[in-house]
Amino acid sequence: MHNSEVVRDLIANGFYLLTKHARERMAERNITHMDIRQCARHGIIDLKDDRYVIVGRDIDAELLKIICVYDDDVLIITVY
Amino acid sequence: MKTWKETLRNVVPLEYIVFVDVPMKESKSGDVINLAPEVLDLLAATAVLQNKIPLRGKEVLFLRKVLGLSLEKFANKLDLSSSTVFHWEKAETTRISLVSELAVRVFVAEQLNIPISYKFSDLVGDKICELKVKAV
Repeated sequence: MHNSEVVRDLIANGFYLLTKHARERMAERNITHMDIRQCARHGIIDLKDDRYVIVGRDIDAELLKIICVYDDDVLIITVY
Repeated sequence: MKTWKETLRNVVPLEYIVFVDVPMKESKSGDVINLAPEVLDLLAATAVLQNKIPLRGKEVLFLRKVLGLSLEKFANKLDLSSSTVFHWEKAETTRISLVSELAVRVFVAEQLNIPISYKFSDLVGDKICELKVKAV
């Protein structure tokens, strides 16, 4: 499986970590863990400069962008 | 790798929830919350329900999103119209009716397996104060 699809699967199943910055952005935009999973499940994933960018929709079909890195774990750096 | 515990504010959409002793670790990409991603959402939902925080639009929106339900699905589960829930959520700082509040509380608590026990009279009153929630 290509790494992009591994990242998608891990996030969609709730196996990821969040930076404090990402959590603060989530709070500002009323985004929960379930929105992140929903976005990853159906979004478009792309690799740009060692970072994965997922563009998708949250539970309320609002546009959501997730930026993450994948080393040992998936780490979400920011969302907007 | 450096690890520590920290007090975090403004990491869920309810500004009065303060998490204490949150395990953290450093990374090249910034400070990382070293907890499964659902933990803070679930702790905040539990704090709102068990501390009898009045349910206003912003609490309803947060609880619905913690459940992972769209507005339509949430409204259907409560036998309400989507527009009713939409208007609740739109009025962020307006408390919903006590009858509706009880229904939302019981439904969310059941879905998340959060034990609750209160009387109708416990919910009367508008107290919202800072809530310290231990993260571990």
